[in-house]
Amino acid sequence: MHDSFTTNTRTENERAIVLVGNPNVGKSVVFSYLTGRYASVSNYPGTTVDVMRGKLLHDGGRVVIDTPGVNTLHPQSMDERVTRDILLSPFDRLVLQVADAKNLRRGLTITTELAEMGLPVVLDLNLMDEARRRGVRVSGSALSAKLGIPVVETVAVEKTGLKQLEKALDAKRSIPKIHVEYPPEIESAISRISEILPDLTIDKRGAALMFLADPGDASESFGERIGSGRAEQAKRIADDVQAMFSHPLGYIIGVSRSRVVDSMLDTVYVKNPALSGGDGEREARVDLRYAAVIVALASAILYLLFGAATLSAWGLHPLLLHVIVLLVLVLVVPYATLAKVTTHHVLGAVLLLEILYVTYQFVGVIGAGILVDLMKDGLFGRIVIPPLSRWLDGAVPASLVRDLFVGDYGLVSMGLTYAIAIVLPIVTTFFLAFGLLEDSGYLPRLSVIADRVMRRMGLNGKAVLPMVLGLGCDTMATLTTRILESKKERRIATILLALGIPCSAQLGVIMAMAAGSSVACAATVFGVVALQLFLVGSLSNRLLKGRSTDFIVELPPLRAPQIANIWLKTIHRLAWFLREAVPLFLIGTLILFILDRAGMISLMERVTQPVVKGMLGLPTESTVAFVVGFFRRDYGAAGLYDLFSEGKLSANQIAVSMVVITLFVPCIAQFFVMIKERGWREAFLIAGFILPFAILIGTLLNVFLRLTGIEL
Amino acid sequence: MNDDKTRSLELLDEVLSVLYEKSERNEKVTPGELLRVKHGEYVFTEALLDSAAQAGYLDQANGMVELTPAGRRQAQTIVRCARLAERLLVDVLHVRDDLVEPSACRLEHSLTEEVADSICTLLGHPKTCPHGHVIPPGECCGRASTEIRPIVKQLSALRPGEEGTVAYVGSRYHSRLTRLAGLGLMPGQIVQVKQVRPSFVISYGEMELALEKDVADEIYVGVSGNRHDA
Repeated sequence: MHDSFTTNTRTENERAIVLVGNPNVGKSVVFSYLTGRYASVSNYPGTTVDVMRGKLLHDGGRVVIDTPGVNTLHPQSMDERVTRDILLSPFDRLVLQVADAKNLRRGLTITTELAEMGLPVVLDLNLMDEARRRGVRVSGSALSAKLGIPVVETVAVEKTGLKQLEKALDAKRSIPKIHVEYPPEIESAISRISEILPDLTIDKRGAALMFLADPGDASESFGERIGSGRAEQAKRIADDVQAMFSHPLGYIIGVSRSRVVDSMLDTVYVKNPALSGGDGEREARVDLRYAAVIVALASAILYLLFGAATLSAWGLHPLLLHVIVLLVLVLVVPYATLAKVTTHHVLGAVLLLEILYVTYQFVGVIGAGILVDLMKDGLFGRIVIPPLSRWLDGAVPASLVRDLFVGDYGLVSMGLTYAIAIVLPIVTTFFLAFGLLEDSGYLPRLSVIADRVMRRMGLNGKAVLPMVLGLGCDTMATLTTRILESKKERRIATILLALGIPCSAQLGVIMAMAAGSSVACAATVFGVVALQLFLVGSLSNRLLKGRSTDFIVELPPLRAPQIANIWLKTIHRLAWFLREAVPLFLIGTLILFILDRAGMISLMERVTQPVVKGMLGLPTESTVAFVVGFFRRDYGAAGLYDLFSEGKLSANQIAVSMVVITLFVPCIAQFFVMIKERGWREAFLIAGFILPFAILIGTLLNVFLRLTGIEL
Repeated sequence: MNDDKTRSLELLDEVLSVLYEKSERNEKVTPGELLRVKHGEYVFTEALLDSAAQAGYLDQANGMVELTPAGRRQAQTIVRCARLAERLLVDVLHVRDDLVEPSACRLEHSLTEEVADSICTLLGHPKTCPHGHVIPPGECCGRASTEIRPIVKQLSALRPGEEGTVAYVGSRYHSRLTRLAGLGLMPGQIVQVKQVRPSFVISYGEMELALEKDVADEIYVGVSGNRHDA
């Protein structure tokens, strides 16, 4: 099902339909319709950017490629580069551009770029319903006449117009008729560069414009095909023209294009708020709705503080009310108002906490609780391991081989059990929740709330995504730090994930222990950890070189998510998890197995005992937990939980041990991912800093509690 | 004022601004090099350097020509006028790129400090010229001027509900400029501020964009004739 993108595209006689469009215009819905369910996802070489491929249902000879959303084909981001590079591919390409009808201006900017590349285009005017509701009237037929290409009006989620779209893919192909006249200096440079260029996979005018807009990027993409000498020549021409203008050429080219797009819009696009269906009236009641939201949230908070016991007395699970509150918010409040709430500086933060709480309950109770029990005790404990160990007992008499698979540190009993029975259910539920938030358009809004805080730590609002993902699984989250734009940001995010973001497995144990001790104890643990995150974050910000990238994020309108789409995404992500993370769990277990056999683990326990007992003030038995925690954080936490339930830890000792195990070095799978992403040197530097740092903070907390005589 | 007098004053201004620009780049020049500098239509002579030194604007140390504190003050005023003039020509009057330089050169000599301050206020106290060089701040930049209502403001100065037309994006970072242009934030685009904290949220066309304050600071919008229905 999964294959590398390159191996598949090497065939030059492939016939492809390339789906292109701005972000959040419904490309993936169109993709699912055209290809049915059978799609494969692969990461574009060297990136984590998802590129989906599938066979066109009504014509199996053609494939459909779904590309990441773009704002321009003069790439500003990794996503845009991937899409542009696919468009430069040598195989036969028909572009199916999906445009947001209400935002036609942005769509036509891309159409213009496609026209300059000389690619045949079919234009899908999607989201016609949203456009109508906002009083936007777009004439597809007028646009089609103007551009000379098939233009189809659709509402993809309702499957309206998709049949016609399918037909349009078989129609005669044509390149959009759009001509942009650039300033004379640029026009002359275009013809000079075109003369140098050999035949390429796109029109020379388009290629020349790429050189003018970003000579470095263009030389990189065309370098091989045109030879470095010619690329150098083209680059020099571009530099010469740039010297004549005060603004970057890419910007001047963009401005010229936007003038042409504006003049096209004049005849095909009308916005008349008077025509908007009902939304105008809704806007008038916004303030009232605002009040309703405040009441709903306030009641949720009150309930959180006082109501849990009362409700449980009625036999209701506390989670129920939270779900009801969120459902009411989503179903009753108009999306425009809800959108305002999500980014509000107070309400937004409250809503965020509410969402995190419900997500945690969903992942923690259903994923980490019910599903893990089923998989671990049921599937592995009863069905997989007993017959396997019986069979191994009979087949291979050597206990070494048996232990390798089903021993204390066995590949099946520990490695696979951990990856499949414990982590997989947790990440599955987490990805479902994450997909829901993603498809509703909430995630970019979350980054608005988080930007200020993240900025202090040298990150921007976008970095909140890996952090939230880290609450699910830090290993996965470390892989997704690639979405951050600068090296500095990726470094800081990796450090913070390794240092103090507890994964769901760990969080579960901490919550359980906190519930069994006192509120003060839980508050101390989270307070100290949060403080360290902030401290280390802002310190790294000062110490590491480089500029943090701008926080500029498009906020799509909130929409009702499509359940089928969320399933599809979750399945793709799980497949990715199995491919990327499971081998690491197995390697980690193998190393643990070897260490155990060599007697290293008991040695480490003995060596670290003075630190645990003397500096942290914890009982000797907890040493084991920390050493195991070195390899698997939640196991360490679970070891402490056992001590706690046996009544061997005081509240103060719980606080100290929880702080240390949370800050402690990452689990071994995460550590491998760190090596993979950041290299050996950096991974060891980070781990080498975190280990003593965690012990230092634990010691300080222990000494502080002892000196002040505070009993938590 | 007779033409020769004007001409020599202009020449003095030019020599001071050339030295100022060199000092911005941490470059030093010998008198010989300075005489060879071609600055538009102007040609510097030894007599000019002498009279500038006599006026207390120039000094020589270790064979290098340097601005005295007085010369530096004078140069700042001139450079400030020149760069403000460029901003005015490019962003408000939309003069063609090849005409900007010569026009700005003429304008800079005829602007008084008061007029420069007025232009500066009008343009919302811009920090850089279209080429990205720093505009030396004037007195007006320190105090909030009330006499002249600016026709151009930083986007970050708008209140929620207010709208304006993008006049220019004054960023030192090319990447920021092209990125915003890629998102459709170009001169002429009407934008409305939706929210100012925790981050800026603006809407334009049919889309919403969240920005940090640093970026909103660099987007200058025309506010004449806008609706103040916040």
